[in-house]
Amino acid sequence: MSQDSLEWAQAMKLARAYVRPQRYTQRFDPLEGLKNGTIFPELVSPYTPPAETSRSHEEALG
Amino acid sequence: MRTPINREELLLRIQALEFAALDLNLYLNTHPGDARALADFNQISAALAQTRTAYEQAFGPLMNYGHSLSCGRWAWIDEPWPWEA
Amino acid sequence: MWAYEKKLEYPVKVSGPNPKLAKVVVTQYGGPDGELAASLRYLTQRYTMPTSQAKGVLTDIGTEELAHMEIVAALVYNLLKGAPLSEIKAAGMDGYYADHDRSVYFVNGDGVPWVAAYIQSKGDPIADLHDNMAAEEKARATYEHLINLSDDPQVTDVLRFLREREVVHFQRFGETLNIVQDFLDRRKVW
Repeated sequence: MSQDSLEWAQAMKLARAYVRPQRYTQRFDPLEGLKNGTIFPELVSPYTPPAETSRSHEEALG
Repeated sequence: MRTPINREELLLRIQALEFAALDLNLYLNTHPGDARALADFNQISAALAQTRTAYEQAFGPLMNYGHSLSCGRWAWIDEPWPWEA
Repeated sequence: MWAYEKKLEYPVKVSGPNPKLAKVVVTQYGGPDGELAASLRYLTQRYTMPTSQAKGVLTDIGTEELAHMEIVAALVYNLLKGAPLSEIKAAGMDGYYADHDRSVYFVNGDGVPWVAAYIQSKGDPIADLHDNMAAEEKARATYEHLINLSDDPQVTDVLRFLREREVVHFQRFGETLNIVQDFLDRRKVW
């Protein structure tokens, strides 16, 4: 299938999974990419731990 | 007189360049026709090769099995190994 | 075949011995959703994948997982290194210590040893690719749990890197699924 979204939607079948294909446009500089865990800015998915988890040593030890 | 190279700094540069090449490598596997990605991959690979040569000349081989030269002495087994400080 | 590069994919440092943290981090070494399971899964599925893209993806991601396995081992090794017995006992790691001292072994967070039942190679490319996508999500979730548990910011930094890689791997397996489904559809037409 091509990269065209409409063509995709029309071609999608039942009982099938699809993942939208990435299209490379820009990238990080290598060191920034390493720190972000990917060279592609659009694939960065930051994680925020829930509020109850504490950074303090004692709480984390439980 | 040679400018002293910081081993950790140079290794970090290699890690960064190889990581960029790796992520582009994975992208190219599912987008083999992407000419721009390929050009970027080749550019980064060339920079990586250069940086590795500089590292290996100062600090010894990075790879085994004949992928790196070992001049003068068998430096391959030298400490530190990657999991050590 | 494999050759070895004498460096980690991502730099690893820990703030000090921490057997309590090592006890949970080790699950990404020898646990059900850990890096050994991931690497062996992909490297053994690749033989029966159709399309050159799929063979490339499984080989290259499988190889990267070996590098991740090494990173997790480096974390566990450094978190156990120099840890006094009193801390090891307090962490509930005395059973582990009895069998392994401060070495790195393939167990989950409860000391259950790795087993091949953690992985599957169905030989059906659609089933295998879905299995891999699920595996990446489970690994991502596990890294999130470990990030929640970690009280060492240097360890957390490494866990965040490994977590982000799972997101990228999911994307690649998804793209591979698209390609393989397309390929199999077209093959049926002929």
